[in-house]
Amino acid sequence: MSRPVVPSRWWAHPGESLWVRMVLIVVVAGLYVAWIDNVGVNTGLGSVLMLIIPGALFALAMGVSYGWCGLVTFGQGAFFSMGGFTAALLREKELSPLSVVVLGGVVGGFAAWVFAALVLRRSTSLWFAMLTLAFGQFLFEYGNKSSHFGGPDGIAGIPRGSVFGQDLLMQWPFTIYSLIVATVVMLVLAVVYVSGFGMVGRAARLNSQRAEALGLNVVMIQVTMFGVSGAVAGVAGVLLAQQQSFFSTGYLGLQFAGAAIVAAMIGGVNSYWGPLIGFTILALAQNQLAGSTLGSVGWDLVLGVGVVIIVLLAPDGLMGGLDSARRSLGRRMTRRARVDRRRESSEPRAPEAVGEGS
Amino acid sequence: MTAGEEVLAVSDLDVRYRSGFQAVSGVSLSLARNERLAVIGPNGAGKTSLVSAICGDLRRKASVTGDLRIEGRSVARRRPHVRARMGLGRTYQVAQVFPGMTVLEHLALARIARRRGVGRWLREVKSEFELTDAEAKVIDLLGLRKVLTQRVSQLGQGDLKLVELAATLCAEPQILLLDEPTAGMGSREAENVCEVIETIVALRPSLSIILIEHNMDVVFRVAQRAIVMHQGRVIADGTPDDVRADSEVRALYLGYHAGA
Repeated sequence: MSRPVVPSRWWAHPGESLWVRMVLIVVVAGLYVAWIDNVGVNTGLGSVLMLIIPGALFALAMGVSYGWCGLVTFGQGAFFSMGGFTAALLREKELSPLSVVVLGGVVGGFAAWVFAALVLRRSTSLWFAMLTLAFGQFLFEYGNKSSHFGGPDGIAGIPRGSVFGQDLLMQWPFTIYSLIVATVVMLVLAVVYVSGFGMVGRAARLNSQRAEALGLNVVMIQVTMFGVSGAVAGVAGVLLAQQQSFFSTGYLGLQFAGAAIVAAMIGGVNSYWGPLIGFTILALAQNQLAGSTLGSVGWDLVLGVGVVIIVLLAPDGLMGGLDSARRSLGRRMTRRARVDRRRESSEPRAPEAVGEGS
Repeated sequence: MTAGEEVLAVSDLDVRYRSGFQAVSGVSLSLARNERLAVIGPNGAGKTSLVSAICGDLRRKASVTGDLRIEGRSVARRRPHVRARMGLGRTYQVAQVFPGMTVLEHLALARIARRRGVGRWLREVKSEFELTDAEAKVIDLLGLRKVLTQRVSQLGQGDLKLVELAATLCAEPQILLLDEPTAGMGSREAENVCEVIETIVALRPSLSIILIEHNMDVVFRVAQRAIVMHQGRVIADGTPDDVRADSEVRALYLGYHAGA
């Protein structure tokens, strides 16, 4: 027998409900389609909006690794590239693009899972971060030296193929296709986020020693979550490779991973939406600045100042700041609702006194 | 002393930190079901190291040798979460919580820790925001009902210790290790902690407790047996009264407290 202690009011904790989250994802995807349609797929801004889809997924992979289980990583570019090169190396096999996406996700996820399982058995989080860096750099050097990966020139001619009779070479069907893939990834991640698994991952980030002492297998959770992160990165890599019909070892480099980390930080690395929002803001801002007199030199300056402001004002990113605001608002509304209800019924005091009132 | 089934057996435990400091040397002790054992001794005597070694928290900080059995099964090589699932639950001197999570989320984590099987990882956590009867009892006992939906970062240090204890209790341990539950509290709050411990004992008759404590009033009130540690060794073992009567112990430690 159990009794509810939290009133199920959506404003009190909207994000925690799976259904609310899923509806929100679909709505956001729909709005994004409308946005691209409004801008036009073949314009400059339209292509930026297209690039945001794999980029934001990659930033989210960073968030899944750090924010969702506390593993700082600099090597997510490796798993992104594994996805991209899966698409590149299979370019002549005439596979359905969807099966390449699945394959890229599996390759990236499995590699990340194995990596984390090997490293985390013995080492601490700090060493883990260092080793992701070393791993990424190793693959970067190897990829450039090896003849299989096209060296610095990359591999061109990656096909987009067709899905359900729609030729993805056309910009518009490909946009829809990318968004559907991204939406499915987001839906899966929503399930992960609200599940006990996601919650224990967050606990592992906040205080792994305490989580272990409670009886939670922190290492297992972190290894699995890192695998999920690698899979998301792999899918993002495949999407980018298909979109550009090109992939190179440049994505293994630190610069690409660094941009995603900054994006995730600005949006809020611990939150579900943060990395997506952060990457979108960055990409749009960069696009705006590229046309201005500041140009590309100014971009790094603006980015640096932006990061400093975020770190100082909202250490948990934009979404972290919004979340605190939402919580204090939720508390106020809950209190008011309780007062109203008390007035209606003659009940002197609600048994489930919630919040800091009373 | 209660004669009963042995739930925890420590034999010949050594703890040597990476710095070379030997915190615990050759400690053996056994704990019976439903026994309440106090560990006392001056600062730096190795009390917390002993408890941490029992829980496996020192894995990367110190080398721990010696045998450790929970209900007859050797756990010396087991990771902390395995020991916790075998029935160990602990609290810390400075409350260890998950900052940014609500009190309810702490309970949800304890519930996941308590359960077995794959389902506990997959279940949506929000649907779990209801208390079982046992959890409701713990919450009411510790007086946390009003702060259930608050984030622990909004709570004071005293409340944090209660939240930590609540989460530990909700994971339903067989052996509860309390590391200075009254540290930093006034005498009235310490009194309250005593009552809480006594109620917990009434609530969970099979629970065994190891209590690290400086406050001798709490020890005399709660514990059935006490061991005194000094420089990593056990120098006295007996009922609290026996221990108080021990001249070596008086000279070392108790004189400052019990004499008053």
